[in-house]
Amino acid sequence: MDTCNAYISILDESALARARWLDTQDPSLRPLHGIPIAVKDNIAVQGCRLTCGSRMLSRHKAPFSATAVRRLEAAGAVIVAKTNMDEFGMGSSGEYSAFGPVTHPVNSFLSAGGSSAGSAVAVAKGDVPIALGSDTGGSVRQPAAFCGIPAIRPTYGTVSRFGLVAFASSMDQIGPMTTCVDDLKTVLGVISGHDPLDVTSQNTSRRIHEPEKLPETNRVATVRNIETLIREPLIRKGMDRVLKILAGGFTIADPVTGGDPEELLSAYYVISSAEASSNLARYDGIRFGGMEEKSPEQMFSDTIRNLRSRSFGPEVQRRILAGTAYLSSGFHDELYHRAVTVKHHFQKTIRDVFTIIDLLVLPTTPTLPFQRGVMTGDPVSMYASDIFTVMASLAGCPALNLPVRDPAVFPADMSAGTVPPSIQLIAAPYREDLLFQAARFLEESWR
Amino acid sequence: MEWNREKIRRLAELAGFAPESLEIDRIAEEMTRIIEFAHRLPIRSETCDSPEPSRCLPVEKIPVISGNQSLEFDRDFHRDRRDSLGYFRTTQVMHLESDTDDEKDLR
Repeated sequence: MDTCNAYISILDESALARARWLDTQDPSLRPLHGIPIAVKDNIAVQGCRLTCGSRMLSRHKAPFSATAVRRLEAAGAVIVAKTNMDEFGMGSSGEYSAFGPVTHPVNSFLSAGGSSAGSAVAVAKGDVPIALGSDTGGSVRQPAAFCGIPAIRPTYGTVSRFGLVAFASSMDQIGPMTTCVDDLKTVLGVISGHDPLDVTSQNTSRRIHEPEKLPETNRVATVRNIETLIREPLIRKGMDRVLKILAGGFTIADPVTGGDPEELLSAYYVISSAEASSNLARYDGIRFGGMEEKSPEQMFSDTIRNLRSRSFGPEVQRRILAGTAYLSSGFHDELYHRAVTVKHHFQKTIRDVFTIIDLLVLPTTPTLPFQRGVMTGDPVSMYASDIFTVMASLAGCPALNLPVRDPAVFPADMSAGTVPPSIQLIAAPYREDLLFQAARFLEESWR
Repeated sequence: MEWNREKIRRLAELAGFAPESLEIDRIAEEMTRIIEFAHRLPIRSETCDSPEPSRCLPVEKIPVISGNQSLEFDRDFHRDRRDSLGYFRTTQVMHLESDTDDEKDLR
């Protein structure tokens, strides 16, 4: 039973038919043979609804499958559900869906995070062992942190975006959510690789499958002056504990100087809103369904404007309006150009940082899951919950969320109604192998 | 900067919304806060004065959205900003919509 409103579509008929067919096949031929997988509802599965959590697309059916979905199916997976999400990926609480809010799997008063809220809940509840989300500014990592599961945002270009509905194209990336680090690696190995249908995709599967060596010389550091941004003592405790454990196998370097997190957060929201206002301009309420009544007496443009006003939810409207403002002549140089410059400068900074160290350790979120409803009236406060996740998004780096299930941080008697704090490991582009190495090292230490 | 009703109405029209369908007062208040938030970007600092060359493909290789875009300002955005966005791609646009001949040629 979907007590958390995690799903928009359950694909029972097609999933059962596929499972029956797989029963006739040799299970040793496919790495994900028969494994049920849930997919965020902004990733196309042929013949299924593709709503993006929006009234605008509530009747739209995908005419093809995303490359990531096709690769999962070729590996034997069974797509069983499309998951609920913040509309078009815009939101950090799972509350901005036209299909109703997603609630937290262990405490219904809490937010499940967002925007891949339904995917995180599906895995955390144990409905499926694997789900796909999409991450633009933290939409895979933040809900994974809030629900207490591992997840990875791969390097930009690692997973084809073909069939992923665009939000902010220069940062959108599909990422898996699972119950353990090994499964993350397996799924990423399946869905990654070059795709001629996405010109930004790269052939990176060699890196992911490389045999791992003991990371004796790898250097790990955190970012200087982030302590004041962590608003939850348990998260600070989790960070300290993780660095202490990593010292047992890695070299801990002095904290590095990265960009100013608050400037980066602003840059992310300016760029992503600008790109969203452009990407979502195509939704006129006609071509992709959603139009409920025709108004022949009205001008065509009026009809489109009315449909757009009725069919987009409040957060999407806010981002489109802000993005349009950033691209207008008055603000273009003042804000948009400045944001792009900050992004490029930060990418250079990060490249320099990763010549000195191999891994960055940061919290995933500044707080533990917040209460539902408290952020929806205050969009700027909601944006602040992405302060640690936008860094990897802007830099195009891979970042892995890992819940700190260490008994010294999160003893068994704490587990009722809450989840452990999470940390985020970030590596240089295409060094997912280092993330898996360190994450597995941590996971094994508290097993 | 204060966003008054008239300014929001003009912005809403530009963004493809019907101003009369929106809660203009609420949006004006929110936009004031959101633009203030965006102004946390450094005004003139080392960050902004040392721009890195963007990671762009040669301009002629970047597909330009055309034909299917419903709003004129959007097309202008792509044409004007493709070099600063660099690796901005329109793959999804082209696959969610039917291709125009121009787009087919570019690919």
